[in-house]
Amino acid sequence: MDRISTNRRTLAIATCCGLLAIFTAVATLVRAQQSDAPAPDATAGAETPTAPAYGKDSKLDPVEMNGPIFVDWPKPQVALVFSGEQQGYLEPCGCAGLHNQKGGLKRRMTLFEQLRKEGWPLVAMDAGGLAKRPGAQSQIKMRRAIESLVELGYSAVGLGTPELGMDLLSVAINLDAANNPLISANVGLVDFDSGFTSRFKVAKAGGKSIGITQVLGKSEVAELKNASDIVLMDPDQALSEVVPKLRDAQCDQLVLLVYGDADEARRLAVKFPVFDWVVTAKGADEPPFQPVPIEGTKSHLIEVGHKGMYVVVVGLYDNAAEPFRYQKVPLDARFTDAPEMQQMMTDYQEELTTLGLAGLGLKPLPHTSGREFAGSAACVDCHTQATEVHHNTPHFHATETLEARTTPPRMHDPECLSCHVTGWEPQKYFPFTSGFASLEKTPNMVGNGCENCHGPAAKHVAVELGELEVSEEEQEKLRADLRLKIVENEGNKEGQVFEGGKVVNMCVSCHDEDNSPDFDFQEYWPHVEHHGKD
Amino acid sequence: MRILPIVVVSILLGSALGATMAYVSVGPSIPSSNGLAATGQASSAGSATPSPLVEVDGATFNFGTMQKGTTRSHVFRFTNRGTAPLELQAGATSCKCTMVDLSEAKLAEGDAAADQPIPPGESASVKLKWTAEVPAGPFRQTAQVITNDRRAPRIELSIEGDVTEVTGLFPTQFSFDKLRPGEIKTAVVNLVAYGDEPLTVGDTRFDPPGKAELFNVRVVPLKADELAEFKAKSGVRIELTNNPAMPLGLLDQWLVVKTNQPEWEELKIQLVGRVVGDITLHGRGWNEELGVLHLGVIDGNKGAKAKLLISTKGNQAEAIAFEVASTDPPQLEAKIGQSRLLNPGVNHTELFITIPPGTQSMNHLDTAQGEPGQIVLKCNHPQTPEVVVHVRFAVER
Repeated sequence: MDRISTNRRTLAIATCCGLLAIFTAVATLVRAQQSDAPAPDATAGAETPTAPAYGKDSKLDPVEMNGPIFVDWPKPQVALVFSGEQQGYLEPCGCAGLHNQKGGLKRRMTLFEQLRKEGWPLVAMDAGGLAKRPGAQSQIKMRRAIESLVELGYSAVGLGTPELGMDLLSVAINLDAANNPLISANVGLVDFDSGFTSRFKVAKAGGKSIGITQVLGKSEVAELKNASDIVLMDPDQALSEVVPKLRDAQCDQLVLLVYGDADEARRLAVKFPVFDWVVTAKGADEPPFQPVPIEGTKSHLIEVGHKGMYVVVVGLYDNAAEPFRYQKVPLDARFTDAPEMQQMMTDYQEELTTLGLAGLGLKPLPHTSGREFAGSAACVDCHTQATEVHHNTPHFHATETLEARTTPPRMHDPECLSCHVTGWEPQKYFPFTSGFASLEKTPNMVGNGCENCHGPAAKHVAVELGELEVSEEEQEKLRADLRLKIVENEGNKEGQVFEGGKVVNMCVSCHDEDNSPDFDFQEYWPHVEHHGKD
Repeated sequence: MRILPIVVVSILLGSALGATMAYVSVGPSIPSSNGLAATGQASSAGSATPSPLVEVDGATFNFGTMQKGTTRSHVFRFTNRGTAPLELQAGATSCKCTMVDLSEAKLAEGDAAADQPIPPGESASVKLKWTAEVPAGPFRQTAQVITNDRRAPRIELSIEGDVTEVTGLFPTQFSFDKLRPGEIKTAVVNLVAYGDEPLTVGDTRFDPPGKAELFNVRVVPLKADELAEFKAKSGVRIELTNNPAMPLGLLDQWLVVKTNQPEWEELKIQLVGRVVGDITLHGRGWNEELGVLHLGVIDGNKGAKAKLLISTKGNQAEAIAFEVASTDPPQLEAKIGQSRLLNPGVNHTELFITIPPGTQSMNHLDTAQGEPGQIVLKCNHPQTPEVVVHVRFAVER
């Protein structure tokens, strides 16, 4: 190789190295400026202030709304994932403007998949409270929730009062013993050694062993004294029996899940000071920004929020200076819908469809007024202006919405029908006699009709059409019973008249905090304003 | 041989240059788990160039107990400990919490306006307001304040406490769960009041009224320690005891209670439970209401399997034995599995149901197109010699 060519080669290499140096410098700077970027997913957003606006059609940036997550987290040795008090919410809390609301198993599964894809070993635990109310539909939801948590790889699923008041045995018998996550130190399904539940578990992940147990609180135990197919024990006595076994297991960390309030969780942490993490299912509706140390113990109290809107992740590290990191994770629209859970929702809706209302134990009950429904079409001839207003509101199309604008369609879901048809009790999810039964049987009861606010009007219609003879006095009373009057400054916001406002109270029976969080009566009313007979 | 040192020196030089530029630009990183964003503590100085440095006097405030419907607010004080003006902007709030316009809240005379740059050494206030329109229990609401302090670009504030109502019902229903014939249970609810007006209970009645003779109602005033448990000022325990002669089926009943509390002039409390025989079925898809196993639509190429548990309670549990007498249609296969005596009064017997792969198309969804399938089991129980399991399914190929 001659000297000239050697010099040229050296020059070329030096040039490349110089460029590499500049590239490295720029890359380092960019990385430093992007230090907000979370490890497992692209969740950091621009720090632009955003006013809350939960409008149905405005899709807000979830990262801007709820903040970035896992900022600067190195990969933990193991990540503990806590949830609880799901209260029957398989999907994000509420139905309007889902994009802007939090929760749902579809998003939770995506989070788990993203973390696992990043190589995070997960130990997922639920403190209990999967269901909320009794009934056949809740039973189906509880079963699907437990099966979904198994699919998500939960190590432990605690038992809460609502599910223990239901047929939990029907769910437990079909769980594979190898991955049955049901756990409770003081509740046994049929018996403590029946094999349907475990009193404690040891989960291994990332080279760590995590000992887990769960208890039902004292007042919850008292509440369940009549429950069948379960045996109950005082939580203190149960922990006295289980804690020595957990100690013997020589775990790296111990977790106590409590289906009880924060006071009871703290009390148990002090009495049994072996736990690193004590989780209360019945804490506040939002988890705090940090775990709270429990005085006099090494324990930290974890709250998981309500309705499955959050999970809490604690990353464990072999680092004495910072042995753990904590993140409350809002399950918002930054997480896409996992297809497996979307399929579960489709199957769930199909199950509701084939069972029908009777199969769900829904018997129509008489309306409290004693009257029957006529359907909005009966109002058209005399109340033409009011009808025109109604036809131009989403109320008129409420039933179509369930069929055409939801995936999967919710045409047979009582929890949706109750506000999307005419003649149902909106908050208790059952039909009134003569209310909507099905598209085929009661086609005149579609839409959120006039009578949902004004009351059943079949007799009034019959009298006005001359089909029924009554006294003038009674005829006037029938009319008067259907009239509604808005009082001065009626509304649902601060400083407005709510308690004495009959109309606004009608509205919020459907436009509630879950389903219509931005509802403002005084803003919405002009869009549906109408006045009696023409 | 001279190439390697050039490469190494270039990379080191580039890295050092980048790191220096980065440090000057953003300062040292602060872990999120212990950083200002979560604790409201001031971040540490680390930059030679003028920069704002935000400090909050406690990012969490506890309102204590609030009665439902009332509104409370709290002012959080932000101080600029840095060397450049601090800028604050309202970020997102949780759905039930309101951040008052930054220009409005001022904690002390001389405070800077929070919507204007806050000079070094000065303070401004941010006010959170919340109306307790949620069910009774603990609450926490949050709000974010966006700052130009790059070490703490997002301050998270929270307010918390306990909401109480004027009255409360614990639990919210009379729960009898499953009653066996002859069994007597007492279900209890506690009705409490938090206000000064002592709660009294007047007449009670059942709705519908036809089954009133099936229950005895007893109203007992709560003692001081019991009231303390509910943090209430007055209250009663309503005890409902069933009559042993209850008909089989759902307890489709409400107790209507009159009280002196304006919110609850008439309170309807649901009775929840079911009177069942000695033999009950359990399993995925089992609908107790209808007495039907729901298998849904099945892919004929794959078939389907289900496992039910036949639970037998009472004196017959120990000696109970089942056999499959018939199935309809014949493609619906049923097999009795293991029987296990869990304790002297409870026996569990497995029942396996199979639609084999290759089954032809059929509809047994209990619609106009077809009746549900049926499995008839014979057993040696003296009162229940036959158990019929209806199965709703359709096979598609």
